[in-house]
Amino acid sequence: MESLDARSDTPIIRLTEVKKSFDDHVVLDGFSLKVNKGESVVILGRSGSGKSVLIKCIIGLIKADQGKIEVMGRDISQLDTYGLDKMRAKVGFLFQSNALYDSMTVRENLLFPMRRHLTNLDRRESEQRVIEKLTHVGLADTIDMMPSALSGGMKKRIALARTLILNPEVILYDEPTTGLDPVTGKEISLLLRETQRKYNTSSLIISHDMKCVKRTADRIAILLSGKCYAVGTYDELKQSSDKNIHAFFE
Amino acid sequence: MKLPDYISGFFEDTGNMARFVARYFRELFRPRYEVRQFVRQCYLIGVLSFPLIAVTGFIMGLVLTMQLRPSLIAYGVESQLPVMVGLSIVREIGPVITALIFAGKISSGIGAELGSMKVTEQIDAMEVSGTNPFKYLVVTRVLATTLMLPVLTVLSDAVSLYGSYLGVNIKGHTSLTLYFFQVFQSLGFGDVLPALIKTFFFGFAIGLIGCYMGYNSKKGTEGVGRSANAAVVVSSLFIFIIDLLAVQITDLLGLN
Ligand SMILES: Nc1ncnc2c1ncn2[C@@H]1O[C@H](COP(=O)(O)OP(=O)(O)OP(=O)(O)O)[C@@H](O)[C@H]1O
Ligand SMILES: [Mg+2]
Repeated sequence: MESLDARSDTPIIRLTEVKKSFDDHVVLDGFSLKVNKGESVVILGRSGSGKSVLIKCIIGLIKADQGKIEVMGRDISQLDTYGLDKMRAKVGFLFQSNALYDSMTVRENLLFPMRRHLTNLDRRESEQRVIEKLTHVGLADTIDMMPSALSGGMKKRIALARTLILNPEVILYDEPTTGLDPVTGKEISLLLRETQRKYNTSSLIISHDMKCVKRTADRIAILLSGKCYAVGTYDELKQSSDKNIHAFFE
Repeated sequence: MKLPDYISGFFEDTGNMARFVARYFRELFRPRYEVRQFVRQCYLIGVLSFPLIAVTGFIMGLVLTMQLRPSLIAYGVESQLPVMVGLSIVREIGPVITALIFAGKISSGIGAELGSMKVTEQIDAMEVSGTNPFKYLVVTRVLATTLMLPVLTVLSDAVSLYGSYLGVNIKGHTSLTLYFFQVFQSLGFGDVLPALIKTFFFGFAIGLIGCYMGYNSKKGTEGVGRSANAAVVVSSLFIFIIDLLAVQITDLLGLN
Protein backbone atom coordinates (compact mmCIF):
# COMPACT_ATOMS: atom_id res chain seq x y z
CA MET A 1 0.00 0.00 0.00
CA GLU A 2 3.03 2.30 0.24
CA SER A 3 2.82 2.90 -3.50
CA LEU A 4 -0.27 5.03 -3.01
CA ASP A 5 1.76 7.47 -0.94
CA ALA A 6 3.93 8.23 -3.92
CA ARG A 7 1.17 10.29 -5.53
CA SER A 8 2.65 13.57 -4.45
CA ASP A 9 6.11 14.28 -3.14
CA THR A 10 5.79 16.23 0.13
CA PRO A 11 3.39 15.00 2.77
CA ILE A 12 1.42 17.93 4.16
CA ILE A 13 0.99 16.10 7.45
CA ARG A 14 3.32 13.42 8.69
CA LEU A 15 2.74 11.64 11.98
CA THR A 16 5.46 9.40 13.30
CA GLU A 17 4.92 7.11 16.28
CA VAL A 18 2.67 9.59 18.10
CA LYS A 19 1.89 8.62 21.69
CA LYS A 20 -0.49 10.16 24.15
CA SER A 21 -1.82 8.97 27.51
CA PHE A 22 -4.05 10.58 30.10
CA ASP A 23 -2.74 9.49 33.48
CA ASP A 24 -2.39 5.75 32.94
CA HIS A 25 -5.01 5.55 30.18
CA VAL A 26 -3.10 5.06 26.94
CA VAL A 27 -5.02 6.64 24.05
CA LEU A 28 -2.47 6.85 21.25
CA ASP A 29 0.23 4.21 21.24
CA GLY A 30 2.55 4.94 18.34
CA PHE A 31 0.30 6.22 15.57
CA SER A 32 1.92 6.92 12.18
CA LEU A 33 0.31 8.35 9.05
CA LYS A 34 1.05 10.57 6.07
CA VAL A 35 -1.34 12.90 4.31
CA ASN A 36 -0.15 14.05 0.91
CA LYS A 37 -0.89 17.34 -0.78
CA GLY A 38 -4.31 17.46 -2.37
CA GLU A 39 -5.29 14.18 -0.79
CA SER A 40 -8.26 13.37 1.38
CA VAL A 41 -7.59 10.85 4.12
CA VAL A 42 -10.24 9.48 6.43
CA ILE A 43 -9.45 8.12 9.87
CA LEU A 44 -11.87 5.43 10.93
CA GLY A 45 -12.13 4.38 14.51
CA ARG A 46 -14.60 3.34 17.16
CA SER A 47 -16.05 5.86 19.57
CA GLY A 48 -13.51 6.67 22.26
CA SER A 49 -10.59 5.28 20.28
CA GLY A 50 -8.82 8.63 20.39
CA LYS A 51 -9.67 10.17 17.02
CA SER A 52 -10.41 13.61 18.44
CA VAL A 53 -7.31 13.42 20.60
CA LEU A 54 -5.28 12.62 17.49
CA ILE A 55 -6.37 15.61 15.42
CA LYS A 56 -6.15 17.91 18.41
CA CYS A 57 -2.53 16.84 18.68
CA ILE A 58 -2.00 17.84 15.06
CA ILE A 59 -3.31 21.37 15.62
CA GLY A 60 -1.44 21.67 18.92
CA LEU A 61 -4.46 21.82 21.22
CA ILE A 62 -3.21 18.69 22.98
CA LYS A 63 0.48 18.03 23.37
CA ALA A 64 1.58 14.58 22.33
CA ASP A 65 3.78 12.78 24.84
CA GLN A 66 6.08 11.24 22.29
CA GLY A 67 6.59 10.99 18.56
CA LYS A 68 6.84 13.56 15.84
CA ILE A 69 4.08 15.60 14.23
CA GLU A 70 5.08 17.49 11.12
CA VAL A 71 2.68 19.89 9.44
CA MET A 72 3.84 21.31 6.12
CA GLY A 73 7.33 20.10 6.85
CA ARG A 74 7.68 21.65 10.31
CA ASP A 75 7.81 19.77 13.57
CA ILE A 76 5.07 21.39 15.62
CA SER A 77 6.68 20.61 18.97
CA GLN A 78 9.47 23.02 17.96
CA LEU A 79 7.10 25.92 17.22
CA ASP A 80 6.66 28.83 19.63
CA THR A 81 3.31 30.57 20.05
CA TYR A 82 3.95 32.75 17.03
CA GLY A 83 4.98 29.84 14.85
CA LEU A 84 2.02 27.82 16.05
CA ASP A 85 -0.36 30.65 15.16
CA LYS A 86 1.15 30.92 11.70
CA MET A 87 0.78 27.19 11.21
CA ARG A 88 -2.81 27.27 12.45
CA ALA A 89 -3.69 30.00 9.95
CA LYS A 90 -2.94 27.46 7.20
CA VAL A 91 -4.68 24.55 8.88
CA GLY A 92 -8.45 24.69 9.22
CA PHE A 93 -10.13 22.79 12.00
CA LEU A 94 -13.79 21.82 12.02
CA PHE A 95 -14.81 20.89 15.54
CA GLN A 96 -17.01 17.93 16.28
CA SER A 97 -19.28 20.25 18.27
CA ASN A 98 -18.95 23.09 15.69
CA ALA A 99 -17.74 25.40 18.47
CA LEU A 100 -19.54 28.44 17.06
CA TYR A 101 -19.27 31.41 19.41
CA ASP A 102 -22.80 31.63 20.70
CA SER A 103 -22.52 35.21 21.89
CA MET A 104 -21.69 36.38 18.37
CA THR A 105 -23.64 36.61 15.11
CA VAL A 106 -22.69 34.47 12.13
CA ARG A 107 -20.85 37.45 10.64
CA GLU A 108 -18.83 38.02 13.83
CA ASN A 109 -18.07 34.31 14.02
CA LEU A 110 -16.56 34.42 10.55
CA LEU A 111 -14.73 37.67 11.18
CA PHE A 112 -13.15 36.36 14.38
CA PRO A 113 -10.24 34.41 12.82
CA MET A 114 -9.45 37.45 10.68
CA ARG A 115 -8.85 39.77 13.63
CA ARG A 116 -5.37 38.33 14.12
CA HIS A 117 -4.58 37.01 10.69
CA LEU A 118 -5.39 39.02 7.57
CA THR A 119 -5.22 42.33 9.40
CA ASN A 120 -4.37 43.92 6.06
CA LEU A 121 -7.92 43.54 4.77
CA ASP A 122 -10.17 46.55 5.20
CA ARG A 123 -13.75 46.29 6.35
CA ARG A 124 -15.25 45.97 2.93
CA GLU A 125 -12.82 43.27 1.87
CA SER A 126 -13.39 41.27 5.06
CA GLU A 127 -17.13 41.56 4.60
CA GLN A 128 -16.76 40.34 1.03
CA ARG A 129 -14.75 37.38 2.16
CA VAL A 130 -17.40 36.49 4.75
CA ILE A 131 -20.11 36.62 2.11
CA GLU A 132 -18.03 34.57 -0.30
CA LYS A 133 -17.56 31.75 2.24
CA LEU A 134 -21.19 31.86 3.31
CA THR A 135 -22.26 31.63 -0.30
CA HIS A 136 -19.99 28.64 -0.75
CA VAL A 137 -21.80 26.78 2.02
CA GLY A 138 -25.16 28.06 0.72
CA LEU A 139 -26.16 30.15 3.73
CA ALA A 140 -25.49 33.76 2.76
CA ASP A 141 -28.84 34.82 4.19
CA THR A 142 -27.97 33.82 7.75
CA ILE A 143 -25.24 36.42 8.10
CA ASP A 144 -27.00 38.39 10.84
CA MET A 145 -28.42 35.43 12.72
CA MET A 146 -27.22 34.05 16.05
CA PRO A 147 -25.95 30.46 16.07
CA SER A 148 -28.69 29.44 18.51
CA ALA A 149 -31.26 30.14 15.80
CA LEU A 150 -29.69 27.68 13.35
CA SER A 151 -30.37 23.98 12.84
CA GLY A 152 -27.65 21.35 13.31
CA GLY A 153 -26.88 21.08 9.63
CA MET A 154 -26.78 24.86 9.24
CA LYS A 155 -24.41 25.17 12.19
CA LYS A 156 -22.12 22.63 10.57
CA ARG A 157 -22.11 24.65 7.34
CA ILE A 158 -21.41 27.90 9.18
CA ALA A 159 -18.61 26.20 11.09
CA LEU A 160 -17.20 25.03 7.77
CA ALA A 161 -17.41 28.56 6.37
CA ARG A 162 -15.51 29.82 9.42
CA THR A 163 -12.90 27.10 8.93
CA LEU A 164 -12.45 28.23 5.33
CA ILE A 165 -12.20 31.93 6.07
CA LEU A 166 -8.40 32.06 6.10
CA ASN A 167 -8.12 29.91 2.95
CA PRO A 168 -6.37 27.03 4.71
CA GLU A 169 -4.20 24.59 2.79
CA VAL A 170 -5.31 21.63 4.79
CA ILE A 171 -8.50 21.07 6.78
CA LEU A 172 -9.01 18.72 9.69
CA TYR A 173 -12.60 17.60 10.06
CA ASP A 174 -13.76 15.99 13.31
CA GLU A 175 -16.81 13.87 12.49
CA PRO A 176 -18.44 16.31 10.06
CA THR A 177 -21.62 14.28 9.58
CA THR A 178 -22.18 12.77 13.02
CA GLY A 179 -25.52 13.70 14.52
CA LEU A 180 -27.04 14.80 11.21
CA ASP A 181 -29.82 13.07 9.33
CA PRO A 182 -28.72 11.01 6.28
CA VAL A 183 -29.83 13.60 3.75
CA THR A 184 -28.05 16.47 5.48
CA GLY A 185 -25.08 14.17 6.06
CA LYS A 186 -24.90 13.54 2.33
CA GLU A 187 -25.07 17.25 1.58
CA ILE A 188 -22.23 17.92 4.00
CA SER A 189 -20.12 15.11 2.48
CA LEU A 190 -20.63 16.54 -0.96
CA LEU A 191 -19.79 19.99 0.36
CA LEU A 192 -16.50 18.63 1.70
CA ARG A 193 -15.70 17.24 -1.73
CA GLU A 194 -16.67 20.48 -3.38
CA THR A 195 -14.56 22.45 -0.89
CA GLN A 196 -11.56 20.31 -1.58
CA ARG A 197 -11.92 20.79 -5.32
CA LYS A 198 -12.69 24.50 -5.27
CA TYR A 199 -10.10 25.63 -2.73
CA ASN A 200 -7.57 22.95 -3.58
CA THR A 201 -7.15 21.82 0.01
CA SER A 202 -5.94 18.58 1.50
CA SER A 203 -8.10 17.04 4.16
CA LEU A 204 -7.94 14.73 7.11
CA ILE A 205 -11.42 13.59 7.99
CA ILE A 206 -12.49 11.70 11.06
CA SER A 207 -15.63 9.73 10.62
CA HIS A 208 -17.45 6.52 11.23
CA ASP A 209 -20.28 7.32 8.86
CA MET A 210 -19.41 4.89 6.03
CA LYS A 211 -21.45 6.76 3.44
CA CYS A 212 -19.50 9.91 4.16
CA VAL A 213 -16.27 7.92 4.12
CA LYS A 214 -17.09 6.44 0.73
CA ARG A 215 -17.87 9.85 -0.72
CA THR A 216 -14.89 11.71 0.66
CA ALA A 217 -11.96 9.34 1.11
CA ASP A 218 -9.01 8.92 -1.24
CA ARG A 219 -7.47 6.73 1.42
CA ILE A 220 -8.66 5.35 4.72
CA ALA A 221 -6.61 4.78 7.86
CA ILE A 222 -8.00 2.63 10.63
CA LEU A 223 -7.22 3.65 14.19
CA LEU A 224 -7.27 0.68 16.53
CA SER A 225 -5.70 0.37 19.99
CA GLY A 226 -3.89 3.66 19.50
CA LYS A 227 -2.11 2.53 16.35
CA CYS A 228 -2.67 2.89 12.64
CA TYR A 229 -3.99 -0.61 12.08
CA ALA A 230 -4.42 -0.48 8.30
CA VAL A 231 -4.30 1.97 5.41
CA GLY A 232 -5.89 1.59 2.02
CA THR A 233 -8.56 2.75 -0.38
CA TYR A 234 -12.21 2.13 0.34
CA ASP A 235 -12.38 -0.82 -2.01
CA GLU A 236 -9.15 -2.36 -0.79
CA LEU A 237 -10.25 -2.29 2.82
CA LYS A 238 -13.75 -3.43 2.01
CA GLN A 239 -12.38 -6.59 0.50
CA SER A 240 -10.15 -7.27 3.47
CA SER A 241 -10.76 -10.49 5.32
CA ASP A 242 -9.40 -9.11 8.60
CA LYS A 243 -12.34 -9.09 11.00
CA ASN A 244 -11.22 -5.84 12.70
CA ILE A 245 -11.31 -4.04 9.37
CA HIS A 246 -14.37 -5.81 8.09
CA ALA A 247 -16.33 -4.72 11.16
CA PHE A 248 -16.48 -1.15 9.85
CA PHE A 249 -17.97 -2.18 6.50
CA GLU A 250 -20.88 -4.24 7.71
CA MET B 1 1.41 6.58 52.30
CA LYS B 2 -1.44 7.92 50.24
CA LEU B 3 -3.38 11.00 51.29
CA PRO B 4 -7.17 10.80 51.29
CA ASP B 5 -8.70 12.08 48.05
CA TYR B 6 -10.25 15.20 49.50
CA ILE B 7 -6.92 16.32 50.95
CA SER B 8 -4.86 15.68 47.83
CA GLY B 9 -7.71 17.22 45.82
CA PHE B 10 -7.53 20.34 47.95
CA PHE B 11 -3.79 20.73 47.38
CA GLU B 12 -4.22 20.07 43.70
CA ASP B 13 -6.91 22.76 43.44
CA THR B 14 -4.80 25.22 45.40
CA GLY B 15 -1.84 24.56 43.14
CA ASN B 16 -3.89 24.92 39.98
CA MET B 17 -5.43 28.13 41.28
CA ALA B 18 -1.98 29.55 42.09
CA ARG B 19 -0.82 28.72 38.59
CA PHE B 20 -3.93 30.38 37.19
CA VAL B 21 -3.17 33.57 39.16
CA ALA B 22 0.45 33.53 38.00
CA ARG B 23 -0.67 33.14 34.41
CA TYR B 24 -3.09 36.02 34.85
CA PHE B 25 -0.33 38.40 35.88
CA ARG B 26 1.97 37.16 33.13
CA GLU B 27 -0.63 37.67 30.44
CA LEU B 28 -1.89 40.94 31.91
CA PHE B 29 1.33 42.77 31.13
CA ARG B 30 2.31 41.02 27.92
CA PRO B 31 1.38 43.04 24.80
CA ARG B 32 -1.52 42.51 22.45
CA TYR B 33 -4.01 44.12 24.78
CA GLU B 34 -7.67 43.31 24.21
CA VAL B 35 -8.76 46.88 24.87
CA ARG B 36 -12.12 46.75 23.14
CA GLN B 37 -13.10 43.56 24.87
CA PHE B 38 -12.02 45.05 28.21
CA VAL B 39 -14.18 48.13 27.73
CA ARG B 40 -17.12 45.93 26.76
CA GLN B 41 -16.67 43.82 29.89
CA CYS B 42 -16.50 46.95 32.06
CA TYR B 43 -19.84 47.95 30.62
CA LEU B 44 -21.42 44.50 31.02
CA ILE B 45 -19.95 43.84 34.44
CA GLY B 46 -19.90 47.31 35.94
CA VAL B 47 -22.55 49.50 34.40
CA LEU B 48 -25.22 46.82 34.11
CA SER B 49 -24.76 45.82 37.75
CA PHE B 50 -25.37 49.32 39.02
CA PRO B 51 -29.20 49.15 39.31
CA LEU B 52 -29.07 46.00 41.44
CA ILE B 53 -26.28 47.37 43.63
CA ALA B 54 -28.13 50.67 44.03
CA VAL B 55 -31.43 49.09 45.07
CA THR B 56 -29.85 46.77 47.61
CA GLY B 57 -27.63 49.57 48.93
CA PHE B 58 -30.57 51.89 49.35
CA ILE B 59 -32.64 49.35 51.25
CA MET B 60 -29.67 48.41 53.40
CA GLY B 61 -29.06 52.02 54.48
CA LEU B 62 -32.72 52.58 55.23
CA VAL B 63 -33.21 49.36 57.20
CA LEU B 64 -29.98 49.71 59.14
CA THR B 65 -31.01 53.19 60.28
CA MET B 66 -34.47 52.09 61.34
CA GLN B 67 -33.06 49.13 63.24
CA LEU B 68 -30.37 51.09 65.03
CA ARG B 69 -32.57 53.93 66.18
CA PRO B 70 -34.30 52.17 69.14
CA SER B 71 -30.99 50.99 70.58
CA LEU B 72 -29.44 54.43 70.29
CA ILE B 73 -32.52 55.98 71.91
CA ALA B 74 -32.16 53.50 74.76
CA TYR B 75 -28.66 54.76 75.39
CA GLY B 76 -29.71 58.34 74.86
CA VAL B 77 -27.43 58.92 71.90
CA GLU B 78 -29.96 59.24 69.10
CA SER B 79 -28.07 62.23 67.74
CA GLN B 80 -25.20 59.86 66.89
CA LEU B 81 -27.39 57.92 64.45
CA PRO B 82 -25.85 59.35 61.25
CA VAL B 83 -22.35 58.76 62.57
CA MET B 84 -23.05 55.16 63.56
CA VAL B 85 -24.74 54.30 60.31
CA GLY B 86 -22.20 56.15 58.23
CA LEU B 87 -19.30 54.34 59.84
CA SER B 88 -20.90 50.90 59.53
CA ILE B 89 -21.78 51.42 55.90
CA VAL B 90 -18.49 52.85 54.73
CA ARG B 91 -16.21 50.60 56.72
CA GLU B 92 -17.87 47.24 56.52
CA ILE B 93 -21.41 46.73 55.35
CA GLY B 94 -21.16 48.66 52.08
CA PRO B 95 -18.06 46.88 50.75
CA VAL B 96 -19.05 43.42 51.94
CA ILE B 97 -22.69 43.44 50.90
CA THR B 98 -21.87 45.00 47.53
CA ALA B 99 -19.18 42.38 46.98
CA LEU B 100 -21.52 39.54 47.93
CA ILE B 101 -24.24 40.72 45.58
CA PHE B 102 -21.67 41.33 42.88
CA ALA B 103 -20.32 37.81 43.43
CA GLY B 104 -23.82 36.35 43.13
CA LYS B 105 -24.51 38.18 39.89
CA ILE B 106 -21.10 38.29 38.19
CA SER B 107 -19.06 35.36 39.44
CA SER B 108 -21.75 32.82 38.62
CA GLY B 109 -22.35 34.50 35.27
CA ILE B 110 -18.70 34.33 34.34
CA GLY B 111 -18.45 30.75 35.61
CA ALA B 112 -21.40 29.64 33.51
CA GLU B 113 -20.37 31.60 30.43
CA LEU B 114 -16.77 30.42 30.33
CA GLY B 115 -17.87 26.95 31.43
CA SER B 116 -20.20 26.55 28.50
CA MET B 117 -17.59 27.98 26.14
CA LYS B 118 -15.16 25.44 27.48
CA VAL B 119 -17.38 22.38 27.11
CA THR B 120 -18.57 23.36 23.63
CA GLU B 121 -14.94 23.81 22.55
CA GLN B 122 -15.34 27.53 21.86
CA ILE B 123 -12.22 28.24 23.88
CA ASP B 124 -10.26 25.75 21.75
CA ALA B 125 -11.72 27.38 18.66
CA MET B 126 -10.39 30.76 19.76
CA GLU B 127 -7.00 29.26 20.34
CA VAL B 128 -6.80 27.80 16.85
CA SER B 129 -7.99 31.12 15.39
CA GLY B 130 -4.89 32.86 16.67
CA THR B 131 -6.58 34.67 19.57
CA ASN B 132 -5.22 33.94 23.01
CA PRO B 133 -8.39 32.92 24.86
CA PHE B 134 -6.85 33.56 28.26
CA LYS B 135 -6.22 37.18 27.35
CA TYR B 136 -9.48 37.62 25.49
CA LEU B 137 -11.74 36.01 28.08
CA VAL B 138 -9.98 35.85 31.44
CA VAL B 139 -7.72 38.90 31.61
CA THR B 140 -10.42 41.27 30.39
CA ARG B 141 -13.00 39.97 32.85
CA VAL B 142 -10.76 39.84 35.90
CA LEU B 143 -9.43 43.32 35.21
CA ALA B 144 -12.98 44.58 34.75
CA THR B 145 -14.23 43.12 38.04
CA THR B 146 -11.15 44.41 39.89
CA LEU B 147 -11.68 47.95 38.68
CA MET B 148 -15.48 48.03 38.64
CA LEU B 149 -16.23 46.73 42.13
CA PRO B 150 -14.53 49.67 43.91
CA VAL B 151 -16.49 52.10 41.75
CA LEU B 152 -19.73 50.23 42.44
CA THR B 153 -18.94 50.18 46.17
CA VAL B 154 -18.48 53.95 46.29
CA LEU B 155 -21.76 54.43 44.44
CA SER B 156 -23.49 51.90 46.66
CA ASP B 157 -22.18 53.66 49.79
CA ALA B 158 -23.56 56.94 48.50
CA VAL B 159 -26.99 55.45 47.78
CA SER B 160 -26.96 53.69 51.15
CA LEU B 161 -26.22 56.90 52.97
CA TYR B 162 -29.07 58.55 51.12
CA GLY B 163 -31.34 55.67 52.20
CA SER B 164 -30.12 56.16 55.73
CA TYR B 165 -30.85 59.90 55.51
CA LEU B 166 -34.45 59.05 54.57
CA GLY B 167 -34.50 56.59 57.48
CA VAL B 168 -33.41 59.30 59.91
CA ASN B 169 -36.14 61.54 58.57
CA ILE B 170 -38.95 59.07 59.12
CA LYS B 171 -39.04 59.86 62.81
CA GLY B 172 -36.65 62.73 63.16
CA HIS B 173 -35.66 65.81 61.24
CA THR B 174 -32.43 66.69 59.60
CA SER B 175 -31.43 68.33 56.36
CA LEU B 176 -29.50 66.45 53.71
CA THR B 177 -26.57 68.85 54.08
CA LEU B 178 -26.46 68.52 57.83
CA TYR B 179 -26.77 64.73 57.62
CA PHE B 180 -23.89 64.34 55.17
CA PHE B 181 -21.85 66.92 57.09
CA GLN B 182 -22.21 64.81 60.24
CA VAL B 183 -21.32 61.63 58.42
CA PHE B 184 -18.27 62.98 56.65
CA GLN B 185 -16.99 64.73 59.74
CA SER B 186 -16.91 61.41 61.58
CA LEU B 187 -15.16 59.59 58.74
CA GLY B 188 -11.41 59.63 58.78
CA PHE B 189 -8.75 58.61 56.32
CA GLY B 190 -8.40 55.30 58.17
CA ASP B 191 -12.08 54.53 57.66
CA VAL B 192 -12.29 55.17 53.96
CA LEU B 193 -8.99 54.04 52.50
CA PRO B 194 -8.71 50.47 53.87
CA ALA B 195 -12.35 49.89 53.02
CA LEU B 196 -11.75 51.01 49.47
CA ILE B 197 -8.53 49.06 49.04
CA LYS B 198 -10.08 45.80 50.11
CA THR B 199 -12.77 46.13 47.45
CA PHE B 200 -10.07 45.83 44.78
CA PHE B 201 -9.16 42.48 46.28
CA PHE B 202 -12.82 41.46 46.49
CA GLY B 203 -13.26 42.33 42.82
CA PHE B 204 -10.12 40.48 41.84
CA ALA B 205 -11.17 37.36 43.76
CA ILE B 206 -14.68 37.41 42.30
CA GLY B 207 -13.51 37.71 38.70
CA LEU B 208 -10.67 35.30 39.09
CA ILE B 209 -12.66 32.57 40.79
CA GLY B 210 -15.48 32.86 38.25
CA CYS B 211 -12.97 32.54 35.41
CA TYR B 212 -11.05 29.74 37.08
CA MET B 213 -14.18 27.66 37.66
CA GLY B 214 -15.46 28.25 34.14
CA TYR B 215 -12.12 27.69 32.46
CA ASN B 216 -11.70 24.37 34.24
CA SER B 217 -15.25 23.12 33.72
CA LYS B 218 -15.69 19.41 33.37
CA LYS B 219 -17.37 17.99 30.30
CA GLY B 220 -21.12 18.17 29.99
CA THR B 221 -23.87 20.57 30.99
CA GLU B 222 -23.66 19.34 34.56
CA GLY B 223 -20.09 20.59 34.66
CA VAL B 224 -21.26 24.07 33.64
CA GLY B 225 -23.85 24.19 36.43
CA ARG B 226 -21.30 23.10 38.96
CA SER B 227 -18.83 25.70 37.78
CA ALA B 228 -21.39 28.47 38.18
CA ASN B 229 -22.36 27.22 41.60
CA ALA B 230 -18.81 26.72 42.82
CA ALA B 231 -17.88 30.18 41.56
CA VAL B 232 -20.46 31.87 43.82
CA VAL B 233 -19.76 29.72 46.85
CA VAL B 234 -15.99 29.98 46.69
CA SER B 235 -15.89 33.68 45.86
CA SER B 236 -18.32 34.50 48.69
CA LEU B 237 -16.10 32.57 51.06
CA PHE B 238 -13.06 34.43 49.77
CA ILE B 239 -14.77 37.77 50.38
CA PHE B 240 -15.01 36.95 54.08
CA ILE B 241 -11.46 35.62 54.23
CA ILE B 242 -10.11 38.74 52.56
CA ASP B 243 -12.24 40.86 54.90
CA LEU B 244 -10.73 39.09 57.89
CA LEU B 245 -7.20 39.56 56.59
CA ALA B 246 -7.92 43.21 55.80
CA VAL B 247 -9.06 43.98 59.30
CA GLN B 248 -5.96 42.31 60.74
CA ILE B 249 -3.68 44.25 58.44
CA THR B 250 -5.28 47.63 59.11
CA ASP B 251 -5.04 46.80 62.80
CA LEU B 252 -1.35 46.02 62.55
CA LEU B 253 -0.75 49.21 60.61
CA GLY B 254 -2.57 51.14 63.31
CA LEU B 255 -5.14 52.52 60.91
CA ASN B 256 -8.13 51.50 63.01
N1 LIG C 1 -8.64 15.90 28.27
C1 LIG C 1 -8.75 14.61 28.53
N2 LIG C 1 -8.46 14.09 29.75
C2 LIG C 1 -8.56 12.78 30.02
N3 LIG C 1 -8.97 11.87 29.13
C3 LIG C 1 -9.29 12.29 27.90
C4 LIG C 1 -9.20 13.67 27.53
N4 LIG C 1 -9.58 13.80 26.25
C5 LIG C 1 -9.90 12.56 25.84
N5 LIG C 1 -9.73 11.66 26.81
C6 LIG C 1 -9.94 10.21 26.70
O1 LIG C 1 -9.36 9.76 25.51
C7 LIG C 1 -10.17 8.79 24.89
C8 LIG C 1 -10.40 9.16 23.46
O2 LIG C 1 -11.19 10.31 23.38
P1 LIG C 1 -11.61 10.97 22.01
O3 LIG C 1 -12.43 12.15 22.31
O4 LIG C 1 -10.41 11.19 21.17
O5 LIG C 1 -12.50 9.83 21.34
P2 LIG C 1 -13.09 9.81 19.88
O6 LIG C 1 -12.39 8.72 19.15
O7 LIG C 1 -13.03 11.16 19.27
O8 LIG C 1 -14.57 9.36 20.14
P3 LIG C 1 -15.95 9.93 19.55
O9 LIG C 1 -16.20 9.18 18.29
O10 LIG C 1 -16.95 9.60 20.59
O11 LIG C 1 -15.79 11.40 19.34
C9 LIG C 1 -11.44 8.69 25.70
O12 LIG C 1 -11.37 7.51 26.45
C10 LIG C 1 -11.40 9.90 26.60
O13 LIG C 1 -11.93 9.55 27.86
MG1 LIG D 1 -14.34 12.67 18.86
